[in-house]
Amino acid sequence: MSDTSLTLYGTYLIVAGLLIIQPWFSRKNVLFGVIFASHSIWDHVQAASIRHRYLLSAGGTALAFFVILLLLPFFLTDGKWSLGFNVVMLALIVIDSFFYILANRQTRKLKQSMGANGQLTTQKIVVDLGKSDRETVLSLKWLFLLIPVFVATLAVVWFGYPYIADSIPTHFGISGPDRWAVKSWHVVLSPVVSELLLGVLILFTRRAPASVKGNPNAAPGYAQYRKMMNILLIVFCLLSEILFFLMVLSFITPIRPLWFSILFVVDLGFLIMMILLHARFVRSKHASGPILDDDGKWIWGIFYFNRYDPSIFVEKRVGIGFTVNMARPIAWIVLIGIIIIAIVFSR
Amino acid sequence: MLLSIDFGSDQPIYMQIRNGIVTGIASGTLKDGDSLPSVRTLGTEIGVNLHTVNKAYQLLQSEGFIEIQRRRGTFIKAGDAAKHAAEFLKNCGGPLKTLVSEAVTRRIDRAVLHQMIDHMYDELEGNKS
Repeated sequence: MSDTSLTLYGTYLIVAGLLIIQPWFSRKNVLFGVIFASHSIWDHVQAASIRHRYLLSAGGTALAFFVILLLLPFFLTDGKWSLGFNVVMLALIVIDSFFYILANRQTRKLKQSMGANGQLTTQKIVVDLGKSDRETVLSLKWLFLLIPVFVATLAVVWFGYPYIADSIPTHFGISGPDRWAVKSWHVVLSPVVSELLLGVLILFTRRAPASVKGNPNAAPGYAQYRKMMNILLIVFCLLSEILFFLMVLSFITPIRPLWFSILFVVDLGFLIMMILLHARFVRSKHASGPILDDDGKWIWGIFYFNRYDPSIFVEKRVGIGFTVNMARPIAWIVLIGIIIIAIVFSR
Repeated sequence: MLLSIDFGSDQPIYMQIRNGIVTGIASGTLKDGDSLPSVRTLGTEIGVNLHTVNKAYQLLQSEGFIEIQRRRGTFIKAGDAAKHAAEFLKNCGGPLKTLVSEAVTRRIDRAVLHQMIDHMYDELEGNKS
């Protein structure tokens, strides 16, 4: 088995695993994107049976597709193998999302059957006036950390262009570069653009509200968690920037592949840190007091659509991190812009 | 300080924000020099348009409860509120008269009403000390 296939199988297992356990990356009073008054919903008999059904169908699908992936190399030539992999991956995401949506609908029905709970309200909201902006929003100074490496990358590309070899490595495997492209401004600038995109994304998420709607106790410790996540994101960005910087530098002078591997492993470590932070600050906290019942604003418990909410970024209902308010045109413009730039420069 | 907003209430949101802050100052939870969140932050926190928050802040400034400094932010400035006392007394005559009239029609004893006001006063001043 080649290195590439091993990497692909590894990627499949990680993506499938994260996809299936997604519903567990939520607050304790949220089940499949549906909000409840207390965390005791996880002990509810019917809720447990919805979870089991979801696990069986989503896990079973992932396993079936994995067997198909193992058999694919016997039927497809090397060239078509990666295309086959992409198709299987897409099918897995579509089918498992379908099972998730099914579970979301069943949970909504369960909630209706349970009747009204006084703690869940659609009308009342409590906010903490005591926190100043300086405490809740990460200072812009943190973003200055990202500038030096960005400038260095740009400088290397700008002044080093005449010295860059005619063939440029664009993809790096475990044993060094494994894909090459013909030298052009378009290709050499793509790492610079990637760095810029990362920076812009952080600049935007910085403005996410400092609390989860309802009351400060609906999500205790959230402001602190958000700040730590932002700092983690900036350090992650910095490391990714260094990775892009090394990549650009390797156009001119050979860099030992070991450096790429080390940085890649450290980046993976940050992903694990993110999950741990989520477990510590979100999953383990218990909500109390009036909780805003905004299920109607969450399509399938995944997409947030609220015309009356001026915030662009909100905490994800299910999963780690932030999602955008789809009712805000600016969210669409930013998303489409990022996708277009990513597509243009990944070609 | 915790500010409570009720979307189902007849009272407009900007008045609820304004009243909440005035009560906070009266009870001593908000003190002179305390900073308030920016218009944008409070708007996103509550989930209302920033013009709504701005309306409340402008009203509070014109009534002398807060000071909006262009660069530094918004601060409680309760000291100024006392200067507007005469204006307040003139304005509150109307709503107070409606309340007293209703109390009279309902045959509520003058002393009970007095007691109620005294009690509220004591509660707010008790919180301060």
